[in-house]
Amino acid sequence: MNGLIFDVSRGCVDDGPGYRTVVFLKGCALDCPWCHNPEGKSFQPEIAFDPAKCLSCGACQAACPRQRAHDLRPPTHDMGLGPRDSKPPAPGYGLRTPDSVVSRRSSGVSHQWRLGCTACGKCAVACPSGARRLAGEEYTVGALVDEVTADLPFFSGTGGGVTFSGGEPMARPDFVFECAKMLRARGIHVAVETAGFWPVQLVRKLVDGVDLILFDIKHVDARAFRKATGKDVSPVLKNLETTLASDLPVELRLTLIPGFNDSAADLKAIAKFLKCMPRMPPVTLQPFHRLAVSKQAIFDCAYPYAGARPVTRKELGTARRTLAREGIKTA
Amino acid sequence: MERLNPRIARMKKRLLSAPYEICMARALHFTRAYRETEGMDPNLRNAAALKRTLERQRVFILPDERLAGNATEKFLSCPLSVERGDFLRTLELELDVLHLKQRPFAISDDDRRAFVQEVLPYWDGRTVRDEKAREWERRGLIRTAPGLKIAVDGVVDAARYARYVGRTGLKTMAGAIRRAPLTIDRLKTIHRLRFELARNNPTPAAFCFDVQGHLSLGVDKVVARGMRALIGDARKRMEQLLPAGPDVSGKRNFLEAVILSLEAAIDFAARHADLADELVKKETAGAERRRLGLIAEHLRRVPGGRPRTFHEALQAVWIALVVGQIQYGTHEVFAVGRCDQYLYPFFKRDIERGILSRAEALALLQEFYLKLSTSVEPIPEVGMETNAVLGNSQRCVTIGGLAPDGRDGTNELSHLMLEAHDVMKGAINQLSVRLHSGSPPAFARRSAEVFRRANGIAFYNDDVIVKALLSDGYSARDARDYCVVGCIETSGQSDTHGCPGGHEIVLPAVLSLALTRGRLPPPAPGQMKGHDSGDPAAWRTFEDLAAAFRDQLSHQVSVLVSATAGKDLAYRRMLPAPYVSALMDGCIRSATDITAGGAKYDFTSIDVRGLATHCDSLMAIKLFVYDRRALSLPDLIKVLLLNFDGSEALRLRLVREAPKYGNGNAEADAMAFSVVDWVNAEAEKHRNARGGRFRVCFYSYGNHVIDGLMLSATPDGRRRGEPISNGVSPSNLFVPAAGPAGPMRAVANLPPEKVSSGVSLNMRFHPSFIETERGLDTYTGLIRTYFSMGGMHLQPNVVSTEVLRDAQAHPDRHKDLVVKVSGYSAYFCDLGRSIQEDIIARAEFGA
Repeated sequence: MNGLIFDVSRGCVDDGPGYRTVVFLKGCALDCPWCHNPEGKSFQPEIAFDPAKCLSCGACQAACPRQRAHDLRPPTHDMGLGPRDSKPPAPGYGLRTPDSVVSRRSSGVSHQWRLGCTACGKCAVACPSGARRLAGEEYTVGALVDEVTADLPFFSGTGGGVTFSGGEPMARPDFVFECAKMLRARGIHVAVETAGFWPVQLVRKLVDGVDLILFDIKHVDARAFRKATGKDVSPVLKNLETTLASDLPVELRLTLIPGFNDSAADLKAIAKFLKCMPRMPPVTLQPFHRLAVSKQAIFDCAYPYAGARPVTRKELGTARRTLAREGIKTA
Repeated sequence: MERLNPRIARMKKRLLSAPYEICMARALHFTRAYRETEGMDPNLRNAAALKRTLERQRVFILPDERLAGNATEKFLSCPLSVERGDFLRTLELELDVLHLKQRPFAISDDDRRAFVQEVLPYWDGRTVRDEKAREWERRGLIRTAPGLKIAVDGVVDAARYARYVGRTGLKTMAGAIRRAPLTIDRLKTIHRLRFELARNNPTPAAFCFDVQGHLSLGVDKVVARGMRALIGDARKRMEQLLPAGPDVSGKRNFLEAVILSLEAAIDFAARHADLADELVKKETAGAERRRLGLIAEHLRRVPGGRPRTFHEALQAVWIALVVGQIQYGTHEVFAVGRCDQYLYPFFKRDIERGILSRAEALALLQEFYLKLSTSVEPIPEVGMETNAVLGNSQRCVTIGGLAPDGRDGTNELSHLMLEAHDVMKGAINQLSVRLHSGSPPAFARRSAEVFRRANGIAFYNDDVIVKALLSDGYSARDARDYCVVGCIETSGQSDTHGCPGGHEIVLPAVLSLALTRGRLPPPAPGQMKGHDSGDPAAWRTFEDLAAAFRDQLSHQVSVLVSATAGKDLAYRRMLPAPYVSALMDGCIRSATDITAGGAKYDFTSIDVRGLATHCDSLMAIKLFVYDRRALSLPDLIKVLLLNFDGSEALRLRLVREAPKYGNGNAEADAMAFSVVDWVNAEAEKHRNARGGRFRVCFYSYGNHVIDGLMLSATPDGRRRGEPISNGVSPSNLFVPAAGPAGPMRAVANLPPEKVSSGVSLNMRFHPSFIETERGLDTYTGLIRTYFSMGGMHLQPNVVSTEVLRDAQAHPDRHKDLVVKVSGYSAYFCDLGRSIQEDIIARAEFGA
């Protein structure tokens, strides 16, 4: 059983207790326009290309089976036609939808070579500078578990462990559960960071299979949720409720997104919903940031939030107080 | 958290805004005393010079001060040790451009005149440096100067050297000279001093500076017994000297010098007391009268007698240290040892008797910290690039850790000293925190917490260090009572003459010499031709290369050992240290000065730099030349000498594809283990001039930046002029994908008994790493895990790149931002630009 992983990040402290290794699984059904890991959306491997690092040495061109890797001609409108070979539920991302054609133009760095690219990764191997990188590598359970176990002393010394994130790790439940089983057998704490959009039947296995769930709440309002993500909010809310009905440790994450969930009315609605839950775990309030701006060029993707202003300290404080008035304490 | 006491805030402001000055008083008194005592025993000459300075140097007591005593006549200056030679030459070279330095120094016209007319002419040819050079010439380490032959060679060498170092390197090295008008006099000075480089570096890969010091000064004895008791010891020892024993006159002279020096110190304190009495007469305000009265009372009692209170004990420590500074002079690097242990009985008693409040103790400690930082050194402009000026004499304070009996020694005072550091947002002096597996968790966590507001702390692992010291021959009690000296050097407390600083090997330069048959880096004027360790084209396997490297290393170490012996002999003949020896275990008993091997424990350290750059280079050669056979070694060397010009793709491959030390790669980490082993094996072969062993340490203060300036490109992908790696930290060329565990695992893997003199691991964390309580727990756990795996040392910086950049742009807003450099800590804005850049380039974890 394999998992498609686009990053393994070590020494993290924000994704659960202690010293953590975060495993980012590729692919997510939700299409949140503010997502700071846009490369986590597609379920297919992709080639990341950072023009700033490119030496124009031509090594990728020579390695490319199609000899097109370094075809840097400016984009034309008819380019948007050929959809990349990616299976659903990959959302509107990359060179697929008319929207992204528009965004390509706005970002100004689109390349002919992406058309028909199968992300075989040969150019990334050939690239000396790291301008080309394969985002999305297949890992077997054993390989991943062995790789992260190297930090075992640091996990046990700090109460840390492994966090599966994404993308949406629960879009690959079997892989995650199998890894979790082996990791826990070695005494490693396992957390899953999820947005909650997965079949409700999975909840039992999840609750039994991991030590901690970091649950990301985006919104509780169905219309707002659908408008932003393209999906129905009800499975998310149902999953949240069942998870909280168990006695598994859960931490809630609420990222403040400008214009989506940062108004007093939005926050009140969220608070109202949370208060009806079986229990109230700690809520971490995080501000939206624009770190994904640089990924526009690298993954040639649309990033509608490129122009959004970051959430200020003051706004964060206001939101914190709004939630507190509704009886929700945040960290 | 408590607010900073207004008195301390004023004193801190005074320290951070005072001008840097040159004070000629000590230099002048020493010059006159030495002129008058020519032909006498060197110990007695030194004691006479110290006595003269302590009797005549102007003393003063500043507003707010409750601990009195200053080593010079200026507030912020240093006692110039002209008799050593290094600072004499620096000052000679920069005398007309002191105001143009990156950090300008003021010098009065009188002082300038005295220096030019009286000090310089007397010391020409009479300094330790001159004697060291004569000794090196005798040993054939450097070429004899002057003479027509070397003059011609000098020009040729200089031209080659300039070509090699390149424009950037030369410009940086020229420093102030670049901006200053080149008058005939300055040209003459520069010409006269053109061989000075060879007097520090017998080879391009080895340094041997004119320093000694770097030890833990026995202030604990002054607190525990008082100087009069030590005088008594010396008198008794003198009576026991057998008239027919070996070198009896030398021993008698030494003991006499000890007595003279200690008496002079007691009288020096009394001069402060007299001054305080006089000031009291003019004072009407009650609080001021009490302050001055207390100073007078204390300084009549200590350092001669045993202190009665905590306040008096701190005063005793401080005045004993001031005298040490004056005796030894510039860059003495005297650690004050385990303050929380030897001051605790006083603290406890005063608290119990109700005569001291916690807040008072805290303020006194803070004043003490400020005092420890109150010194500046007129280091040469090239050194400025990499060094701090303010507080350069690192006066390490060690807290926590095991007591000599093996139990945990952490006490209430340890916590208070942490708090003092915290409330001050860091002080410049080193606060070294000792931890062991049985340390109270609250103490470990509290010391981690201090980083939220203050940098400048380093952590030491007793469990590993004590074992390493045992293997050096320390007794169990003495090993457990170790303290930290200078940057990171682990040493017995006031019982060790360890010479941990100033004898240095630059590994990447050794590798460069091995790869170029000893040709590059080219010899600077005065240096000998390099050692040929074989033709790289003939090396069939990586083992051949390793053998050639070890041959080159062996040559460099033996040159360094010989050079060190030359320096040590020069010290013994010209500049013993009777005052320092008086406070050192073993010296009075053996009636022998530290420079002659009188200390209870005697070592010399070889400080090795550039471990990561070197290991990564070896790994890159191994992979590209011998495993993949992507290119031949001579081709790679050509590319390096061209500074990767036109080979950027290859350079990036070397950086990205070759395994890197400190990045979770077992093979690269094992390479570091081998390199440490090789260096240690070379060090083991030799004994120092006093019969002591050579120990190895890995730290680089700021000099890895200078090494980088003088070194061509290296096989790890480092370009010409870029800094080499610092301490045992990974190279700055990459961001460890392995996270903070990568460097920690690599360092914990090094054999502690082979680096018993200390290693320095620098890691930079983003403040968000420890922002939350959970983050703080993780951080504390991380340090303890690293220690449980066998790590010796860690000095974290918790500061973000944004803040450091802002501090570069607006130094006024960040005057008190403290950072760890590589061993020592410094005010960031006081550092030279190159080292600032090096700190920013370090991987930032948790961002």
